[in-house]
Amino acid sequence: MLLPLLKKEVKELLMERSILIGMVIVPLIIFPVMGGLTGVGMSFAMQEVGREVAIGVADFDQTNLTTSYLPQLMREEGIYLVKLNCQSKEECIREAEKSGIRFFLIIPRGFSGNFTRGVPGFIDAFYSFEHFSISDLTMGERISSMLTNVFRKLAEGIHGGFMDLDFFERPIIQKSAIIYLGREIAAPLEFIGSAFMTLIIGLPTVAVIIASSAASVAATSIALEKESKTLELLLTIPAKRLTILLSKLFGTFLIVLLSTISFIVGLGIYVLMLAGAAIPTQAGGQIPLTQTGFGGLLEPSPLFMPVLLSTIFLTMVMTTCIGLLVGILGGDVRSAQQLVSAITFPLLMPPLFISMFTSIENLPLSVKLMLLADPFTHLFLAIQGGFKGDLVMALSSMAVILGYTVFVLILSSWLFMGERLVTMKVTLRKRPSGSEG
Amino acid sequence: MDVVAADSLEKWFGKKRVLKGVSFRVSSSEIFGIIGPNGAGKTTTLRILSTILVPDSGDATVMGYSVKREPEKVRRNISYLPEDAGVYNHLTGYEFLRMIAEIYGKGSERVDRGVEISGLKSALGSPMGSYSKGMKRRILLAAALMVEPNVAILDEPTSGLDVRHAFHIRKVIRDYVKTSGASAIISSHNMLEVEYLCDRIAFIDDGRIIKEGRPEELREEFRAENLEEVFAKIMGGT
Repeated sequence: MLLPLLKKEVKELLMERSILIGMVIVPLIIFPVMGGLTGVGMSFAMQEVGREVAIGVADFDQTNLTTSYLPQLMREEGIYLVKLNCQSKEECIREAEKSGIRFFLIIPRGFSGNFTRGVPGFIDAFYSFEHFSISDLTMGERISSMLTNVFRKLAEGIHGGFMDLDFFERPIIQKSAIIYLGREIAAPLEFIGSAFMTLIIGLPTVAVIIASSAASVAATSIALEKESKTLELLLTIPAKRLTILLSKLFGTFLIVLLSTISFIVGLGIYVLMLAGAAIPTQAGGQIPLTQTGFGGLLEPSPLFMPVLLSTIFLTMVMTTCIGLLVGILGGDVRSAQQLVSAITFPLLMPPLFISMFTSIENLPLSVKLMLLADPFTHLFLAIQGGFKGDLVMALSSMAVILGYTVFVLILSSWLFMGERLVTMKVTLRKRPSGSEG
Repeated sequence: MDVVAADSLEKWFGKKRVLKGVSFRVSSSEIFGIIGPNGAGKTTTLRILSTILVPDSGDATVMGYSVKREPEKVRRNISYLPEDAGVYNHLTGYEFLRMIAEIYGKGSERVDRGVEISGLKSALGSPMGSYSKGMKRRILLAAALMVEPNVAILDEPTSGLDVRHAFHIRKVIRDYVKTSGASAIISSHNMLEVEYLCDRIAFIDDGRIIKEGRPEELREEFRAENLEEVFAKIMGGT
C-alpha cells in the first residue's frame, strides 16, 4: 500500500522543477561556488597567517632577561624581531607604523623583577590591523599564542620545575590593544574581533535580509496582479504604463521606507546596548566599553552613520527594482518568489563569505573583478568605506549600487511597456502546456 | 459608423500562429459575440482590442483609433473585463469603485451608478477577498460599465457563475448597451447567453472567423433550432 503511494510522491516531487532546482541542483552549484570562493579567501588568509612573523619590541626594562634571553627565545619560536627605539606608547605606535610593523610589544620597567619572582609580568601588546577579516584576526591570535609559548619557555628557563602552576599557565598578562585606522582600541582581541565582525558583516547581512524582503514584496506585487488577472484590468485603464509602474515602485518604496525606519530603530537599540555593555578584562574584572575607547568607536561618526543608512536604503531600492523585474518576468507569485531567491542568494553569498575571510584587495584580479561586478559586494565596500572614513570608496560603491538600480529600473520599464509583461513567464517550474484562447 | 473594425489580425506566440487574419466590424449600440472552442483565438482577439497585446500584422480601430498606434486613446474608449479576473482582496467593493472612478476622472455619481449596477449594496463595505465568485464578477462588471465606455469588451462575463449571478450580469450588459448607445463585444461558451445577448455573432476556430451573422440568420442558414446546434454543425460535431 505504502510503496505505490511513495513512488507517486517521489515522482511528483522530482518532476516539480522548482523542487529539483531548489533542493538538488542549486545546492550542487551554489555550495561548490561558495566553497571555491571561501577557499580562495581562506587560502589568502592562511598565506598571510603562515608568513614569518615580524614583531617589534620596545624594551623599557632593559635587563639581561629582556635584551638577550627573551629575543633568543623569540627567534627560536620563528619570530623575526625588530627593535623599536621609542620612549612612550604614542612614539612606539608611530615608530611601528613608520617601520611597517603590524605587531609590537612594550615591555614595561619592572617586568624582569616580577618575572624572576614568579609574578606574572604585564606587557602591552599592540595589533595593527588593515582590515577586520578572519585573516587579520587569525594572525593576531597566532601571535598571541606564540608570545604565550615564548614566555612559558622563559618561565621554564628561569624557574625550572619549581614554579607555581598558575604562573606557568599564565606567565604574562597581555594588555592588548588594537590599532585600526590610527585609532587605539584597548580591548581583548577576541571581543574586538567579534564586535567588528558584527559591524562589518552582521549589519549589512541584516540589511540585505530586509532588502531581500523588499525584493519579495515588489515581485509579489506584480506577480499577484498577474496571477489574479487584475493586471490585465490595470493595463486597460486610461493610465500610462509608466504611471502604473511608478505606482508599484513608490508603493513598494513606502514599505521599504518602513523597513528602513524599523532597521534604524533596531540598529539604534543595538548600538546603545553594545555601548552600554562591559567587557571582561583578562584579570577577571570588567571594563566598561566607554573606558576602553571601544564604545567611543561605536558612536556614530559623522561619516559612518550617513553612509551606512544611505547604503542600506540604496540597496533596498536596488533590490526593490530587482523585485519589480522579477515580478515582470515571473508568471505567478510562486515563480516570482523562487526567482527572487534564485537571483539574490547567489549574488549575496559570495561577497559575504569573502568579506568574512579576507579583504577583496588581497584577491586575484579575476576573482576581484567577478566580485566587483556583484552589486552586493558594493554594499559591504560602501559600509567599510564609511567605517574607515574613506569617502571616495563609500561614494564610488554607492554610485555602483545606484548604477545597478537605474539599469534594472530601465530594463523593468522596457519590459513593462510592451506586451512582454503579459506574455513573458519565466518560471523555474515545469509549465503545463496550455494555449491562449 | 463602425465603432470597432478589426482587419486581418494576426498573432504569433513563439512558433504558434494563434490568429490567422481575423476581421470583423462592430456598429454602435450593437452587442457582438465571439464564440468558438477553447484555444480558437477569442481571448487573444479581445486582448488585442483592449491594447494588452499588439497584433503582429493587421490592425484594429476602436472609435477610429488604432490599437497599434494610439493605444492610450483606445483605452479612453473601452472597458475590459478579463476572463476569470480577480479582485484586490483588501479593498472593499466601494473603495474599488471609487478608485476606478478616480482613474477615469469621474465624480461620485459614477460610483453611485457602480453601486447600482453591482446590486451588492450591503456587501460593498466588505473587503472583496470575502466575495463569492459571482459577487466578484458583479463588482468588476459594475466598474467596467459605470465609467460609460464606448465599447465594453467582456471576456466570458458569466463563466462559472450560478444562474442568479449570470442572469443579473446578462441583464446589466443588455440594459447598458440599449440605454447608453454604446457597444459591447463579448466572448462566451454559453450559446443560450449569446443568443439572448448578441445582435451579431462570429464563430472563430483555429485563429480564423469561419462564420458571422445575426443569430436568426445563422439558425435559418443551418436549419437549426438554436445556436448550440449551429455551433455543432459548423464545428463538425454532428
